[in-house]
Amino acid sequence: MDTVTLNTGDLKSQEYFLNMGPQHPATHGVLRLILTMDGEVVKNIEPDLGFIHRSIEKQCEYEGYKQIIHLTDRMDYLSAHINNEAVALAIEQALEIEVPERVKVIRTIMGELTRIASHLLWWGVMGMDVGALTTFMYAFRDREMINDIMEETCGARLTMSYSTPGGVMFDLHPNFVKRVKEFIPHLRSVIPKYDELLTGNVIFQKRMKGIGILSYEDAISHGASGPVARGSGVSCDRRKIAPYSALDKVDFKEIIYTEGDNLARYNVRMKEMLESLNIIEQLIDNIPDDGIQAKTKALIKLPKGEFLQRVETARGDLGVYIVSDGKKNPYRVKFRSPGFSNLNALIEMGKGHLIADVVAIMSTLDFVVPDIDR
Amino acid sequence: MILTNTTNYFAQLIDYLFEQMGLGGQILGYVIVAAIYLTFFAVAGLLLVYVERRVAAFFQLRLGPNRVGPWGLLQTIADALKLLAKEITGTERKDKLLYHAAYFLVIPAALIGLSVIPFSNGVQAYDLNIGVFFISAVSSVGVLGILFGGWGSNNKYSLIGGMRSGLQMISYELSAGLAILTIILMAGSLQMSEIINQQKDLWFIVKGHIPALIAFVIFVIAGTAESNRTPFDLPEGEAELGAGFHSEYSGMGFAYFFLAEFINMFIISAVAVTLFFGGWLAPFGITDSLPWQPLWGAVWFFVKVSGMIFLLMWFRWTFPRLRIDQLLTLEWKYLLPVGLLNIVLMAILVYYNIIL
Amino acid sequence: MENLINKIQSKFPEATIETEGVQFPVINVSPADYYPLMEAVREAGFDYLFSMTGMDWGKELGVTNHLENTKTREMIVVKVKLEDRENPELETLENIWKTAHLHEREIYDLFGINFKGHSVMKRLLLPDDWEGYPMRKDWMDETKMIIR
Repeated sequence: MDTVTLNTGDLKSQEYFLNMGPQHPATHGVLRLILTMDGEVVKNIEPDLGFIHRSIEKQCEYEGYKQIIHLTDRMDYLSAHINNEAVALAIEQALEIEVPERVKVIRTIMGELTRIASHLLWWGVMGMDVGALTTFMYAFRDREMINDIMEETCGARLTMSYSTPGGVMFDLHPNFVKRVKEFIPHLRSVIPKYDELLTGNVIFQKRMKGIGILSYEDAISHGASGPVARGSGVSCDRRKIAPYSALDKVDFKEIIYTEGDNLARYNVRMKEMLESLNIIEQLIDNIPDDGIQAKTKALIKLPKGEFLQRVETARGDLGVYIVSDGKKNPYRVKFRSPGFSNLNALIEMGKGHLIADVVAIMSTLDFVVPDIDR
Repeated sequence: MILTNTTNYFAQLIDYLFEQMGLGGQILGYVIVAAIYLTFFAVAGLLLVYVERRVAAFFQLRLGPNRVGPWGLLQTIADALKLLAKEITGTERKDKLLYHAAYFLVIPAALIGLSVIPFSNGVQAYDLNIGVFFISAVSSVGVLGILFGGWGSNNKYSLIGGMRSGLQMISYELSAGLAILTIILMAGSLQMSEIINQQKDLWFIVKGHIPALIAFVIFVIAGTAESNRTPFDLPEGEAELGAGFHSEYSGMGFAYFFLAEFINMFIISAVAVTLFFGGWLAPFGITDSLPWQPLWGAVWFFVKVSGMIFLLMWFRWTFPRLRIDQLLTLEWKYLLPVGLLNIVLMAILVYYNIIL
Repeated sequence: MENLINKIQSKFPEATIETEGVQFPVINVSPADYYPLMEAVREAGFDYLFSMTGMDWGKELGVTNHLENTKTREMIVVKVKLEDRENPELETLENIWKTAHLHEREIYDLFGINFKGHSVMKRLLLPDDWEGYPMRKDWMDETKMIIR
């Protein structure tokens, strides 16, 4: 029998660059990834940032402390309130101001609402990234209720700038409690429907399970935080470790999954929404009534020193590091944003996966690009 | 003469014109038939886009188009006009021939496929004696168009989309073919009209019970994949590839791809209805005694096809997308072996005459 | 914590440690001792590099590292100062903490501190042809900056 040899002399396999972003539906903004591809397999990921870099840190050096808060809205715009709170807490910590109980409770409720809104948006977009287009509309319907609640009280739907050093900007709207109480059972009733629509789907499970595994050690080494780290079994919820505002008064669980894959990160966020509802439910009935503003000076000057405040945003561990030289504006402000470190994890997690998986992994890491670029 | 069926209205029209005006009349007849099909193509395409958007809205808690014309019916016509008026853009170093040939390939592939589908008793351009085979052969030409578009665009995303599409369509053609073969074993004919006539007493999906059901499921899955719809819309895969093979097309170039996709969906549904649900036959013959028989046939045909189309749209708006390796695993490891076994099963049933 | 401080003082006599009047203990270290000290801190259980902050103290440039022990939740700050403003250079921490990869690129981009041994020492946020390091205190852009 003659042997057949396939002549592949002129056939070569070649790696090529694929430019993913800054305009790409999966990068959720203007993140640019330079992918080295072999066929459809991603060999290397190099992020190229800065498309919405506004140098907020530099701007802060020229602003008074009260103005800084308004800049932080524009970082992680999906957890704008929590960013505001972080700066307010840092300033209060430096000045040793004791804020009224009412403020603490309001901040916590607002923070948790923000977290739910952020996770809802993430869920909708997550579905879109794996091709299920309907999730987006469902998530936005329910997120809209939170936005309306925010609008009534803060006057803004997304960039609230609601916290101020020593308190909050306005008192709660009379409808606030009623609306929040309507929202809690509503979301409780729709989350099982979300699960029916997406979580239980065979295709979705296949796309998620065992993809993009981030080990416990790697999660720590990459500086991952928030749901990303908790999906890898790292206990890192700042709300538990160092409770701020009214979080020490409430009882809630820290959601931890140990698989470290896409599905674990997905489950963490889905369960976190319910936990956030629990927190709100414990606080909403007895909001203390002792004013919304502690006494602060009109022109805030921080004492000389360095102050770090860490809070848990919807994306993870946000650190506000203020270096003060005693003047009316800070000497140096650093925002340690969770997305920045989580992006670092993507570089390694994405290697060796198909391009569709990289999109799914990126989706479970839940990037907000202004948060990464600052 | 291919037109053998004496009750074929199109054939009668052409014969009549031939008798009246000779060869010129015959050509006129062909032109008229072609014009009817082209009109149907355009109207059905636009209507399907409208229906898709309404169905999507229904699934997504929205209203969908409802402003232009009654119930928004004219919305897609307005969109088509907008696309006509748009500038034709493209990449700088595209392969001009392939880039422009692409949409001239997908449209005829879909249009020719339509020609052998029996819309009603005798309403069929060609009643080919190899009708089903002809459809699966012609629909493969559409792949070429998508491959050309993907390659010719000079865009890596388009290229990936085009390659995926080639991979996917060639793979799933097999399963669709096997599912069709299963039914043909039972019918003993490839001719569309003959297949429908065989179902006068019972539809094939009931007649062939287990193997026919399996064949139907395989055909629907393979058909969804062949028409590039979610969960198999990897060639477009908007989250990964932007718009895949048609990223670089604008205006009518894009619209042609879009229309062809919807017509392909219609063809898949029509073939499924013809093979499994008795085509234009009324269920239990409930309208057989009424006048205007061809009209009633068309009504039943379109009702059944709408049901199938709704099913495909349902898939699209609720399922996530598969990954390329999962897609191929599904085809080569599951659908193909099952399809082959299914043929054997059907052959045994037909041989021992256990079909209902 | 006490153990660590004693260990560091015996191993790196030049490093100064502040514990009074600060939020977290601060270790000041010279550039030469930077990498071995960070390794020692990592060994001592401070496995989470929370953030790397580029600093410009006017005269010196430098990096402030916040580290956390994920078991005990203690935090420690390591500061390193570089006298040379023209060619500031430091060892990369990429081999100890993977998160240093992006943080160091950001510091290089905004402060111009070069990290020796880093795998991709390129501009991250700013365009490749950008001149100067905008987060330094002496950086000035007459047209784009509004100073009050």
